[in-house]
Amino acid sequence: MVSRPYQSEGDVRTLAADLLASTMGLMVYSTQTVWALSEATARAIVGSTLDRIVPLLTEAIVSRLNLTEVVLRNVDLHAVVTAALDELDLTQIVVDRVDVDQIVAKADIDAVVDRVPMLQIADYIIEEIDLPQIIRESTGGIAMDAFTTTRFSAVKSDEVLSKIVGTLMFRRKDQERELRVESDAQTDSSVEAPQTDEASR
Amino acid sequence: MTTFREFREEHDADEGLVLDTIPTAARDFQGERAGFFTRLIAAVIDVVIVGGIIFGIWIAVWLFLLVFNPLVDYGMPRPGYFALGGYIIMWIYWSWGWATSGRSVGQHLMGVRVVDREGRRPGWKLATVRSLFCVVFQVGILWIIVSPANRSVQDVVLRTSAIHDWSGDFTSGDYSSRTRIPPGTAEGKTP
Repeated sequence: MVSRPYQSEGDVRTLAADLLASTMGLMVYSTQTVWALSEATARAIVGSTLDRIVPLLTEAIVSRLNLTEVVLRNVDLHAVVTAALDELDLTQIVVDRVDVDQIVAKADIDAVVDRVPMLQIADYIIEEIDLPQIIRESTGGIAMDAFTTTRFSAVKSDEVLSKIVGTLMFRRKDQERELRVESDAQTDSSVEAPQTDEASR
Repeated sequence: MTTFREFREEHDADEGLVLDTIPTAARDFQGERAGFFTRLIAAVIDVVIVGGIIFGIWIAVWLFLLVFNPLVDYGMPRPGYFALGGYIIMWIYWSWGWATSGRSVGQHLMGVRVVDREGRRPGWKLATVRSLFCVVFQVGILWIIVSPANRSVQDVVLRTSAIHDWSGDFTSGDYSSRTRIPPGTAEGKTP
């Protein structure tokens, strides 16, 4: 593109309008520049001044205050801590950062063991693996086995007999059998006292 | 499989720690009064044992007399003596068994234990009286058949009971501490 010298094309009115517009533009531009420059300068001055003053001032203020007490008095620490804990995945942090093995190595295991219901655990294990049955099977032999069988058959026969007698004597089926012994006698008739719901037996 | 927590809660609800050696199927009726056949078999075993003892005594006496008087033939004593001896030894045998452990040998084999009205081992007095009663009035056992609470005549009069107790605890005087199922909670308990 080839520039060409300005050629007046119009009349004086046009010329005046052009002149006015360019003057306005120049003014706006220079104003903006000045504003920006002064703002930057002011910011720098204020910043450096504050950098010097604020630490001194803060130091002076803080040294005159019991900050801990102020915080304790005015801050809802519970809310702050709760909010902080809500933000954090504490378990994950502990898992990531805490050497659990080392803590366990230093822990007083005896104290823990003292709190563990050892006998109940032992009983539970015995019950679950049915240790008595294992012992019976391994040591009982034929004689003990025979007596267990005899006991069971006698109990079965007793049940059958009591059923037959119950039918013959027109006993109600849901009648209490009163088969248990009251352990602490409160009344004279305590032995007679019904204790169980073994009617269906 | 029950978890330890369930197991513990169940035991806390019960009487606490109980180490149970009794077969699972038999646990429900532990502590209940035993029925007719169970006790009849126990009694028969006891009678056989006492018969053996009588026979043994007779043999011993016979040998003793043979040593000192080899030429005299005493012959068999009259059956009445055997019966009388049997009654007396039965009395002593049952009294001793019930007062010391609550069970005779026959009852031990059948898993039966005699307890007093409070569920404890009978004392010497009660054991002696009950034993004498049983020896003299054997047919009292028949009342178990009719009694809805499985009680013999002796049990009714003396307020004793013969309960199922399959535990090997031969010396315990207090059955009540081993009651696993408190009253009213028998349902919902998995055998």
